[in-house]
Amino acid sequence: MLEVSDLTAGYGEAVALRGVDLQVRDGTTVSLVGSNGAGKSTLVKALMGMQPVSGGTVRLDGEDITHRAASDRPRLGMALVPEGRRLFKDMTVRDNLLLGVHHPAARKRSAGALESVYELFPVLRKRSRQLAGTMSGGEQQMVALGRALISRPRLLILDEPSLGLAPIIVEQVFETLARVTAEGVTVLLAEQNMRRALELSDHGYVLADGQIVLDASGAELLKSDSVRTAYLGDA
Amino acid sequence: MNRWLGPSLRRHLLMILAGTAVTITLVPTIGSSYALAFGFQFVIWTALALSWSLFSGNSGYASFGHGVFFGIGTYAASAVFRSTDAPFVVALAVAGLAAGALALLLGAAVFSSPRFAGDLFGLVTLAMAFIAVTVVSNVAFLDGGTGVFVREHTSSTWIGSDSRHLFVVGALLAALSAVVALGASTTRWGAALRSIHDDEAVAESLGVPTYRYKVVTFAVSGTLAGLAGAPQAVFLGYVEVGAVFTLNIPLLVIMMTILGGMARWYGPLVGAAVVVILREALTGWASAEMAQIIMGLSLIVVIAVMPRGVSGYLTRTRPAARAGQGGAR
Repeated sequence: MLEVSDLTAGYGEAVALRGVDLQVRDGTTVSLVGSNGAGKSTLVKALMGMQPVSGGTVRLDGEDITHRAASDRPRLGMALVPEGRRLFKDMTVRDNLLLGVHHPAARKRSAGALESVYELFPVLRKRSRQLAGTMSGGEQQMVALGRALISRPRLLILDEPSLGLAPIIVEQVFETLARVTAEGVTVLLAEQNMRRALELSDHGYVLADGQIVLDASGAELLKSDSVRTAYLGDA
Repeated sequence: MNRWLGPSLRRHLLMILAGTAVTITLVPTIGSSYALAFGFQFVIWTALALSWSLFSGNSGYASFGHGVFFGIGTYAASAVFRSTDAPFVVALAVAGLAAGALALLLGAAVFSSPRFAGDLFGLVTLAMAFIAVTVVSNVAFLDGGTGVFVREHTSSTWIGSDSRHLFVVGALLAALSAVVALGASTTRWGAALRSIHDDEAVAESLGVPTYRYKVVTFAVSGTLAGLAGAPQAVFLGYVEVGAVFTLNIPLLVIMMTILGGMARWYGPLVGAAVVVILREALTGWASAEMAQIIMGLSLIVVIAVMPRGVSGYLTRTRPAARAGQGGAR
């Protein structure tokens, strides 16, 4: 489904991605692990059109989308759960969720999906009129997930969904993610919580210093010692 | 959101229409010219505050250029009165179009560059205010530095013959701004604007065409301010650059929106009422300078005590009323 080849990106002089190759097959869950600053967020932003790309291509089902505007992503069936959740804090939960179907194409796909989000997270139905910024971290993550899922994406990209959350909430996030993948949604998960991410994944990529240094099935990477070394940056 | 003409939206719409109808019906009974002048100021400030917050309040891009759009409207209408015998509606249309076109061009240029995102936008609009003053002062057709007597051109026309007519026009323009503000608070358009306020990049990734929304809404906001400039020209009778383009106008408009709050669409209306009444009362009680100081202090107090403004404060203390609200906020 998603095919990234030789992708480079940077912030001015600083290069953040150096020729990244990556594939996500239809219906699979792929993890992108690596330490803080390895380039995970830059890669995610580049895939979403939120970060200028200096070289290489991003293809979705064979179509070159490297330089498509970010606002075109919903039409392509892509949705993002951004790092730090980034909710619209002064808006109600309901308005946050409905912005997930702002794009006409997303709205068309998702008829009645607000109900399905409420079924997935019943607490959000009760809190639908609460301002998103006044909720707990875990509840905010539910809104962020709901805002992405409401558009019924084909490819769901998550950037550090467990960051800053209590362990019990992290567990809930991964359980929800398992349910989403079971429904056939293709998932790309950028996560520092390597063990939990790889357990859930069909395939994993280890990113260090803007490059893919390892690439194997989730189970293999879990067993491999070299992951740990790559992770710590002294491979 | 977006339940077009849902029950609460319809209720708010009816309230605006009923309020306007009652106000206009009562106009003939107003005897004193002081009351009329005060009422006119109130409706014009309401139109300005609502139209400013339509763009700046919702999107978070604070504009200091609202006085320019209002002033361009005032001068455009004056130019029409001076050089033609066209009826007032023509001057009104020209005022709205001139201000709207300027806002459209400025928005299309400024928002195309990410350099001007955030606070720099405010500086650009401030710079525009200085440019507008210079241009109008030096173009003889508009002013040329001598000021323009509007009254002598309008005294025999419908709008110039009775200041009650001015009030009716002002009330209708305030109602128009209120309807647009209500629309922005309940539709997908308003939600998109508020998402720009909080996180433009994420809004974009959700498919919100942020550039288009900013440009269009800024133009609508400028048009509404320009329309208000037409009756203002007649009301002033004599327009001059210093008074029309004073920075007091955008500052007062911003103050009204902060005081009233953006928690509900009618926040700026509440703020306009508070500021206009307070200013009038204080000027009568003390002096204009004293009024300025007390107004400034009360703004600081409001920000400290009621961070969501008067309208946000009132709705917070009435949770039942809030729960009963449908789509409107």
